[in-house]
Amino acid sequence: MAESFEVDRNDMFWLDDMPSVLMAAHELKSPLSLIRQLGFSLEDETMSHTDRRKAIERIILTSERSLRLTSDLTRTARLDDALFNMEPLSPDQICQQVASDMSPLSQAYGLDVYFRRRRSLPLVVANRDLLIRIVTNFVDNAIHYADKSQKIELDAKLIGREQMVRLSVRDFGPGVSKKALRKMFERSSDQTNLPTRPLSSGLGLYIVSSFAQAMNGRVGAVRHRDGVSFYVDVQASSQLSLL
Amino acid sequence: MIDVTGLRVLIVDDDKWLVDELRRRLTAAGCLVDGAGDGIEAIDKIDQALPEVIVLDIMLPGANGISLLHELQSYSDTGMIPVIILSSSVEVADSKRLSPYGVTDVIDKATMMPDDVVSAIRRSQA
Repeated sequence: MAESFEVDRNDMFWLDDMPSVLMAAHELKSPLSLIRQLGFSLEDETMSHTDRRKAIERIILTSERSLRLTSDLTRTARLDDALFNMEPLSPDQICQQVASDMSPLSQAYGLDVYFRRRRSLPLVVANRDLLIRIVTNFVDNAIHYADKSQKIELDAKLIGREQMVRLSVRDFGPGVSKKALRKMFERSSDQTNLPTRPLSSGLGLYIVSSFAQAMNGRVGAVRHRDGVSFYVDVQASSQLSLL
Repeated sequence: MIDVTGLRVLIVDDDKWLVDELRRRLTAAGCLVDGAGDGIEAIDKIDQALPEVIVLDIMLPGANGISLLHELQSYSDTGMIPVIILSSSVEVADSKRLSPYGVTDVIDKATMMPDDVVSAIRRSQA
C-alpha cells in the first residue's frame, strides 16, 4: 500500500539538524567534486575514446545540473519580493516540455522519461517558470535515485473535489521497507546527530516546496513498494469548464 | 607497496557517476569493485559477498552512512571490515568520532586526488 505525506518547507526536520547554508554548500560541492574528478580522468592517457566521450558528456550534464540548482536557489531567495505572473497553463504541455528538456540527462543514465497523457485535463493556474522548475527538480531527483534501466513516469491528473491538478513524477527505485529504515534510524539516533536526507535531496525539496507555496500549491510524496512519487498540486483553472 | 590485486571493494555512494569513476580507477589498480547507491542496497551486497574494504559516503538517501556503520558494527563478520569515508561534508564527519567504527580514513571529495582512494585502501590493508 502506498504511503502519502505532504512536505512543508517550514516543517522539514533536516533544516533544524543542519544549517541551510551548509546543506546548500553540500549540494553544490557534490557536483563540483564530480566535475573535478571527471576532469582528472581526462588527463588519463590510457582512457578509451568511448570513456573520454562519456566523461565529457557527464561534465556538461553535471555542470547544467549545478547551474539549475544555483538558479533555483536565487529564485528561492527572491520569492518574497517577486511578483509572479499566474496564468492558465496546460499541465500536458508542462510535462512534455520537462520530459524533453531532461531527456539528455535521463538518456545518459539509461532511463526513459515517460509522460502518461490523460484525457480531459483542465488547465492549471500557475507561474510557468516555477511550475517547470518544480517538475524538473522532481525528474532530476528521480534520475538520480531510480534503478538503472527503469522508466520515470510523469503524470498529471485532477484530484478529488478540490479542483486541484496533481503533476507527479514517479521513479521505480528500490522500495525501502519502513521497518528496515526505522531499525537503522533507531540504532543511530542516540549516537550521532549527523543529518540524513529524508527521501532525496533535502535542498531540492525545500526549493520546490517554496516555489509551490508561492503559487498557493503544495508539494508531497507517495512512497510505493518499488519507488517514490513526488507531486505538486496546483489550482485548476475554473475557466476551462467553459471551454 | 601493498598489492591490492583481487581485493574486494564495495563503494557506497548515491552518485552513480562518481561510483563509475572510482570503479574505473580501482579496477585499474587490480581491485574487484562493486557499487551500491544507498545503505539498504549496500547491506544486500554485503550479504551476497563480504567485501574486504568499504568506501562509504556519509550523505546517503534514506539512511545515512553513519547508520550503515552502526549496522556493520553489530555483526562480527562485518564489524572487522575497514571503512574509508568519502564525503563532501567531511566537516561534519569527525574522524575521531568515527574511528571506533572501523573507519581508517576520511577523504574529502572536494580535495580528493585521483590516487587518494587507492592509497587509502592500501593503508587499510597495512
